[in-house]
Parts: sequence; structure tokens; C-alpha cells
Amino acid sequence: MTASQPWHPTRAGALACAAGVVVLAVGVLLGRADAALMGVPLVLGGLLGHRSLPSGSTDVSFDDVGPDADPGTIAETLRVRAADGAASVQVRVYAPGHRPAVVVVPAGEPRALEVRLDSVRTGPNHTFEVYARGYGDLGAHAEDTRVLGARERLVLPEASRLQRVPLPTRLRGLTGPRRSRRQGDGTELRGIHPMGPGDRMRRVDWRATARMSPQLDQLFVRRTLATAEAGAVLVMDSRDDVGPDLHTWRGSEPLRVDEATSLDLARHAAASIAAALVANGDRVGLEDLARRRRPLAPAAGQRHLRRILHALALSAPVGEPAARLRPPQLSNDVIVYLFTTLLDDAPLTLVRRWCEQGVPVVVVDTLPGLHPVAERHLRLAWRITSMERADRTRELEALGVPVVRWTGQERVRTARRFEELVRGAERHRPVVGGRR
Amino acid sequence: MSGRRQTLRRRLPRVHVEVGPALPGWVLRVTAALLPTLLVVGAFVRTPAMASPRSTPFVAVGLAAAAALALSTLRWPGVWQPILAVLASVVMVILTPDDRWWVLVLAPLGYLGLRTAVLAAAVPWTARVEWGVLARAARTDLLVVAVTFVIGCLGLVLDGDQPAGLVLGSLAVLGLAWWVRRP
Repeated sequence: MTASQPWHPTRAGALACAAGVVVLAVGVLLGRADAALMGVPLVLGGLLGHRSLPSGSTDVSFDDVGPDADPGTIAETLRVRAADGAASVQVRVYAPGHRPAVVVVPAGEPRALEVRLDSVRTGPNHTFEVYARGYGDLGAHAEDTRVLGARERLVLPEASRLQRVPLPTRLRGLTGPRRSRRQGDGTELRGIHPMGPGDRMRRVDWRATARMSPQLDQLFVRRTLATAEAGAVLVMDSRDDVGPDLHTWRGSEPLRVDEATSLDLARHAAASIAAALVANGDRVGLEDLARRRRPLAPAAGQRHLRRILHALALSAPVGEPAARLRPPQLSNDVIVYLFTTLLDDAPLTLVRRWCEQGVPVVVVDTLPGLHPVAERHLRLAWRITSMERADRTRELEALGVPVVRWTGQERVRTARRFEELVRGAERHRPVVGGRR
Repeated sequence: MSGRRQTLRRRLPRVHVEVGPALPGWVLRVTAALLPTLLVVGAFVRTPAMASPRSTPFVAVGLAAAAALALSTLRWPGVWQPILAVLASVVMVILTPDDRWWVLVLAPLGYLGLRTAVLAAAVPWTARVEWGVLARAARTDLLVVAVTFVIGCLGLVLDGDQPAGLVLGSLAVLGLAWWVRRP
């Protein structure tokens, strides 16, 4: 943005000066000093403006603040350095889905302008485009417009705090934060048993031995339950991204930046569940239905959570979604969280297959609450679609798959719904875990 | 209210730019509409037509023209409205034989109207113009107005309809025109 551009006289300055000369000439020819005086300031202004031709060019740049951003507000620092001799710089800042802002700042010292936009959208976001134009004294000269685009920002989804989330019916491994039903090296007492082959001496419970075998002809040991970890796979149905306005579903109208779309809700829900699982030491993986790429294998830890958040932010519809011949292959000791709008039958087919394999599934419905529409054909179309969705939801519930809504109104109830699911699972299985 | 209308009525959010103390663009536009109107009205009220008992049609036409000028400036701010106002006021000044000193008010008014219109034409209603821009422009404008005032006083005192003054004035105008148009 530093290539020099020529300054050129403005039409306004030239017209004003010409009008002034004409008025002066008329006044002189008619011998009317008062009439001629009307042209004097116009000519003077034109002459002064003409004599002060700026040199160089206006320079605009953004500070480098990195590619990531938090949801809500995206801010940048715009640096403006006016050309030598310029009087002012007009800065127009555009951003997709926003009304532009126009400011005029005086030339002189370089300026740092804070520009920001409010958006609830997550994922890759095109941010600012700046058009800067310098003006000379009295507006007699103007510079060619300088255009600068800010770098694209990746807005990571924010995670809401969830207490407990449903876990798989089977745990995996011999270490982890959860109590397994298998015997192992945990801290939870499984029982007192006569010492046998494989029992270590440090496990001998001397009090129990003294009580149960006063002659010490038999030693008794404490046996404990093993620990384990739970695994979960987040499956993002990012084949479509729809907003709350039905008029935008055809793709001919842009989505508003101040309304969360289905994909924003899915990212938020997935990030919240992943954060809750990782906080408990469980393993989380990610699968994206829209992209044919290697899924993120289940793993634990904050670094892995960061990786998942990045992958969630990058999930987006890519062209026409290809039909899946088979569902993502998962082991049956994980729980699947499927984030979908349920606008077609593909998620239902996937869930059926997983249920046949014994994989527990929780479906998170991420269709945003829709605005009412006036058009009859849209109302009718939505009525049919919502009936189809209701059928799919009923079928999922018949399969024993809970469907949880994650929209603005019902998001508050989601944590409670998860808690109900966890308690329900505990009632049926007193100890979380399964036989191996 | 229908959903469609509700969607259309909701305005898009605006990009925020942090600037110092600033003047909103609409103030500039309203000022740019008022100054040429004041110029035309100010020149018109001194014409002999106003003193005539049959001046009512003239007054109506003048007011209508001034209102049209103001409205057009509000809608399409540009340089042609203030220039039109200056040319119209020159005609009215020429038609006014007496009260020549009144032009010392009209000339700066015309110039300021033009300057404001140029600034208003470059910014939309919602723009913000930092006071620093106006302060910097005000210094030059003050100089132009002061010089105009001095030249006006001299010209009016010396009475410009003398032949020698006419010739000198013509030469000065030609010189200025050449100086402006030179490459």
C-alpha cells in the first residue's frame, strides 16, 4: 500500500475557481466593485488550494494481531499516515453484513484508529475493507482512493459451562478420572478377599486379616476398582448452514451477522460439550460430515481441546454435499454427539446404523428459532419441513436417542436436560462402566 | 407486523471507528443547505423588487427557489448549488444600485457555503468529521474572508466604475485566469 499515486485537482475546486473568475470579469466589465467582490473569495480560495499540491501518498495499514478472534467483537487497529501537504484523510471502513463507517481525520501526525465490528458469527470471518482518500487544502486536490483489506479472522466458538454431560455406557482404559467396574489399581474399594496369586503384599489388609483369621493362617487383601476414561465423538453435520430467516435459506440473501446460524449454534454446542468432557479428563474426538478428511481422533487435554475448537471453527459447508455410503466408523465404547438441523434424512440414517452397532448417540438439534414469515408459500414450505422434522425427532426418540435442542430459548434448559440424562443413565447402571 | 417487514426494518449493525471529537455529517449537510439559501434570500431582500407593492409574486418565486436549493443540497450536496446561489446573488447585487456595503456580508457567505458544500458532498449523513479537520480549514477560510473583506472595503471606497480601475481590474482578472490555468 505504499505505491505513490498522483494527486489531481477536484472538479469542485476547478468549478468554484472558474465561477469566481466569471463573477470577477462580470463585475469588472460592468464596473461594479460589489458584484466583482462576490467572486474574490472563490478565486482566492481556488488559488490557495491550487498552490498547495500535496506530495506522496496516504498510507494505511492494519496492525498484525494474529488470525484468531473471540466471538462477539472483532477489533483491529488501523494506522493512517497522510501524504505530505494533505489537509485531511477520508476513511471509509466496510465490513460484510455491516453498514460502513465514514470518518474524516486531519492530516499531520500518523493516526491509529480502533475499528471494530460486532458479530455473533463464528468460523472464518471476512473483516474490514478500508478505502482511504486524502484531500488537499480547501478540497482543491484529491488523491486516488487507497484500498486495504484486513486479514480474514478465524472466530473460535465460545464454550458455555456445562456441569455433567451424558457418557458412554462403556469406559475404556485402565487409567482416567472415572471409576470402572473392573478390578484394578484405583482407590474405590471393591472388597476384601483371601490373598491369592497376583496379589501384592502391600494390599494385605492387616486389620481384616486379624479380625477374620486370628491364627494368621490366611491373609486377606483389599481389592479396588480400576479407573477408566470415557470417550466421546462429536459429529458435526456441517453440510448446511441456515439462519433464522427463511428468506435466506435459498442463498440469494445474505445471512445477518447479528444472528447465529445453525452452524454457529452447532459450533457453540460442540465446544461446550467438548470443554465439559475435557475438564473431566475424558477423551473427545471430532468428525465433520461435510469434509472428506481425517477425523480428529479422541484425545484428552487442553491442547487437544484447542485443536478441536479450531477444527470446529473451520467446519463449513463445502459445495454440494456428497452422499455418505457408510457412517463414520466408531468403536462402541464412545458416545456420539451428533449436531444437526435434522432437515433431511441423512442424520437419521447415520443414527440408525450407530444404534445397530450399539453406539450410544445424543442428537443436538441446532436449528435456530425461526422468524415468522408473511409469504404464504414460505409458511407452507416451513410447515411441511417442520412436520418432517417432527417425524424424524419422533423416530429418533423411538430408537432411544435423546434429542436436545440448542437454540436461544431452550439453551438454558439444555444443561438441565443433560443432567436428567446422566441421572437416568446412573439409575439404570449404578456404576458407570461396562463389562469387558 | 409481518416477518418479512420485520426483517427488512431491522438495520444492519454498523462498523465502529474510534475517533476524537467529531461533527456528524448531517450537521454539515444541513449547514451546506442553509448557507446558499441564506445567501440567495439575503441578496433578494435588498433588491428594488422587494420595495415594490407588486413584489408578492417575486417573493414567492424567490422563496420557492431558495427552498428548492436547500432541498436539493440536502439530497444531493454538491458544488453546483452554492455556485448557482453565488451567480444568482451576483445578478441580484447588480440589480441593486444602492446599499453596496451589504456585499461584504454576502461574499463571505457565498464562499463559506461553497466550502461547506464541498465538504458535505464528500461525506454521508452518518459520517463523522473530526474537529481538527474543520479547525485546519477554518484557518485558511478565515484568511480568505479577511482578504476579501479588505479588498471589498478598498474596492467600495475607491468606487470601481472609474475607467482606470476598470482597465486595471480587467487586466488583473485576465492575469488571475492565466495563473490559474497555467500548467
